[in-house]
Amino acid sequence: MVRIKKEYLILALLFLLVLGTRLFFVLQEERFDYDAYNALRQVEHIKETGVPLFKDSLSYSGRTFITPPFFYYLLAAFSFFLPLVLVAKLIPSIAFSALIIVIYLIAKHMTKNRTAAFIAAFFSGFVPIIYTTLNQVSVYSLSLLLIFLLSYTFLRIEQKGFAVLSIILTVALLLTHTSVFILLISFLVYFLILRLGKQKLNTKEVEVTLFLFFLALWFNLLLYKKAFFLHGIRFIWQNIPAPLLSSYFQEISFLGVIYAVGIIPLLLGVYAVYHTLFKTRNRAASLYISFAIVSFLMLWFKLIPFKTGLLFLSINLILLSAYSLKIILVSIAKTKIPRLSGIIAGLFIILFVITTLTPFITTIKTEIPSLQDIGALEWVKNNTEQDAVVLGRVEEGFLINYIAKRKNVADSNFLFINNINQRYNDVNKLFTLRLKSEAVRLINKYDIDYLLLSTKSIEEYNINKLFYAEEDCFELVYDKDALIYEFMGCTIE
Amino acid sequence: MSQAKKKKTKKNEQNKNTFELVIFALLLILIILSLVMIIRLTQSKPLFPIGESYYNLRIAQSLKQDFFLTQDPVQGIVYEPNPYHYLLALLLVIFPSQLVSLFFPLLLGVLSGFLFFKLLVLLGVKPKQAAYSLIVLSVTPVFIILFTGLYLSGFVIFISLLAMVLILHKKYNILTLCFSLLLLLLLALTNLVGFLVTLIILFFLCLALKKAFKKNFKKNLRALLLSVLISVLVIVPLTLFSNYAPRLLGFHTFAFKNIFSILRASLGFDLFLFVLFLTGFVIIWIKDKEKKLFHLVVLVFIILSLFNSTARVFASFIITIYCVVAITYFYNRKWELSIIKTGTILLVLCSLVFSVMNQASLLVDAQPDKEMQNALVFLKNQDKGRVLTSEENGFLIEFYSEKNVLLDANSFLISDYSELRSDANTLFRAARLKEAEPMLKEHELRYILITPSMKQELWEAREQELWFLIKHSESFIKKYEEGSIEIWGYVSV
Repeated sequence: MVRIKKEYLILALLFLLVLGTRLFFVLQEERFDYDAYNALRQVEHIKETGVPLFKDSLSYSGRTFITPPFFYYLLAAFSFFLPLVLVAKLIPSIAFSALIIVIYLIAKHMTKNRTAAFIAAFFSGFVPIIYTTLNQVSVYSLSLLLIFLLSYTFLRIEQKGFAVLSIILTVALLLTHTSVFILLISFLVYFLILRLGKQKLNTKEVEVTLFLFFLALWFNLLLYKKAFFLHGIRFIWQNIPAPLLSSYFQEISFLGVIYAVGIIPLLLGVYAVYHTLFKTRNRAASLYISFAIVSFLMLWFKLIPFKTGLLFLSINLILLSAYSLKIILVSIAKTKIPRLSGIIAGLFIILFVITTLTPFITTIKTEIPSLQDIGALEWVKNNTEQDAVVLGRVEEGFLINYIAKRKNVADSNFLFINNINQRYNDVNKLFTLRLKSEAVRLINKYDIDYLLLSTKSIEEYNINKLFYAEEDCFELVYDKDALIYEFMGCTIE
Repeated sequence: MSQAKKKKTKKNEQNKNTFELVIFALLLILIILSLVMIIRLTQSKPLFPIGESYYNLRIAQSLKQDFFLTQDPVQGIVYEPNPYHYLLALLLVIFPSQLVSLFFPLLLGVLSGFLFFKLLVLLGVKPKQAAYSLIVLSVTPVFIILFTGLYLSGFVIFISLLAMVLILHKKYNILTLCFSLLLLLLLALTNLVGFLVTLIILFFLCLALKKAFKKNFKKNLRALLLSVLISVLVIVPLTLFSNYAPRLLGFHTFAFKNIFSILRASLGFDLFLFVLFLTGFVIIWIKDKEKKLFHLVVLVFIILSLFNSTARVFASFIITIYCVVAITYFYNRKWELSIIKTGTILLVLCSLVFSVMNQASLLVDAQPDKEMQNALVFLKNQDKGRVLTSEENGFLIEFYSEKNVLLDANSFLISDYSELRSDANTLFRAARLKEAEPMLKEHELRYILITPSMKQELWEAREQELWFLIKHSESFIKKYEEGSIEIWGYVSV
């Protein structure tokens, strides 16, 4: 009994440590990552009307928006008791921290070794890639938690209640994010690995997989039918403009994985793969090997955004590293100095901390809008017509919607937008063009009223003004660190 | 009651049940197909959705006037005779056009369904399974599309099924042989790919089911060879001495947008049914070890059908058998988790309903509507002249307005198609008269028809390029505007 309490206590302490660390970084800054402002708008809309913002009049000056809404509803529910800004910082942090509990449970189930499970939980709490989500109001905080919880219920499907729990979790996951497909494909690879190893398939596992697969397919077809129709197979790449594709779906490199995951989980994970496939047979380890393989292949074939793929890959490698740790710790325990296993465990943690320190420090620096830019947008909010269209960089689109409450020309949600490449290029052109006639044509094309030259745009495009913004057509209405031009409505013959 | 009598009563009951099931399936086909047509009519829309039906009906009407038609009376290009058009013309001689349009596709659909059932039974599929296949067939997108309009492929599949049933029928005599040879010849003249696919399927079935067709095996092979010989003997002189040109149509490169109806494929698979097919295939592959080669050939055919639309029509029929295998497997197997069984069966049923609803709504919503019809009738009453519009509107304009168009869905058969298409694209992108005028003159274009879908797809619903030009140039006169449909006349100044 005492031992159980100690186990829980250590786990609770680890949870608090991870949560504390996250909150330490997150609460230092009141602002959010650029894309997070879309989540904030969604939550505010749900709070006001009870439904997500399906028809957004501000984004792209009016567009359809479809997303699984569970995460936003969760934030909206908490925002009734706490300020939204705090909720948006707190809930994702809690969800990411709660992931360590799930990782602990899975690792314990897989290894039957508490020390190995604790180390894996520790790794998952401090793996650098997780800290790229700070200030993002990331939906992955919840979807990762649900996915790994679902995989845990899958492992324990034989036990009473877990089948129903897996269905409930699937429904929650479907309403949160589309990433459930990665897990489902992993299940199929898992069955394949079992068959190749001449192991018997568990009927309940097969049944649940079948059901989940049909459920997920049907639900997503219903939800994204129009997007499929509009974008075809490009839907997988979220209709991201071609110039941006390479930054969302990057080439996977060995160094990149080491940087994101850390060398220790990577080496231990790879050893676990070797050990499970060629030496021992462990069903749970096979499942996470499948999950890791699928994540890796999807990253390799650029079917999943780079950061998302790395998130999945890292957690799976961490889970597998628990398996290797168990082998190492058990081997040491069998030697003449069994106490050495404790020291080795500590050594692994120290090594992990040392090797991930540099990437950890670099990843916690997230990209957030400058105060000057936010000031400029607040000026727009107070001094422009309500239906004005404001041009900003694509990354600033949500910020324009949220802070200035004005229409943007483009933002980072590209689904349902026709000719996205053209629009993306036009937006970029409007910052670099020198020819007034072409600029005026584009401005008229998108009915732009104001052009925001943010501090970030000035830095990115290496300019200090818009070259074509001459007095006969444009007026500089805001001139501080960021600039705002008003288009006076001239036409070019 | 004696054992034999009991057996007989049981068999009679089974036969009665199967008969009822077949009647139900045929009624379901009739209801689904007619519902699409009825809903269109109740919404005051013309019976057929935009596409090939209008071309076939127009040509049939022309053939009714002149049975030896050599030139398309509207487009002015060489008419290549097709038995399907002659059959339609013959029907138009006997019945009014509305009656033919309404009942001929329905009749062809129900008969094709029945023939498919007969064929399956002939091939040794249990009658109950064959009836279920018919039910699944009734919800496949290809089937719903082909038999709610006057499509050549619908006729091809009907002739092909009829020929197959006659050739594979056990009561085989000289009369049926002659009739089936005649049908195969008709098929060869209607659609060469359809003919070749039928031959391949028949040849494969004869070989695979050699034991079942002990007596007729050699006769069947002889019939096939004879049909090839006769077809060649007829096609070669026809090619040499008439406008008939044998063409292998419908081939395309691999692209998901051509394969799945959810991605806008005109003759595509339903994604869910395809998944069911794969599931059924895996089940049958594991269970039916003796016929692995047979199923492998089927799989190869399905894969090849991804590159040809006519083959995909045949494949759509074939996959229903495997779908039924999957569904009956789900239904009959002993599930360990009854809740999962109920859920999975429900999901499969929902997906079938979703498939039919999705396709039906697409067909019901498809152009032309009353507004479009009025515009086209208006155009008919204008002076002679060529019309510029999108390629997909081509057949509609030819049918209703009896006016020549720059491009229609058959234009790809013309030798200078790529040139015409490039000119049309240049015209749609032209924002200056000096860019548009040479091409308008070169192609003798007199009218421009702009529809809402063109505005959306070509110009993102913004007045730009050609749409902008015609609105602001004196060389264009607005002839008609109702709703979002505009007809402009070009006057050379």
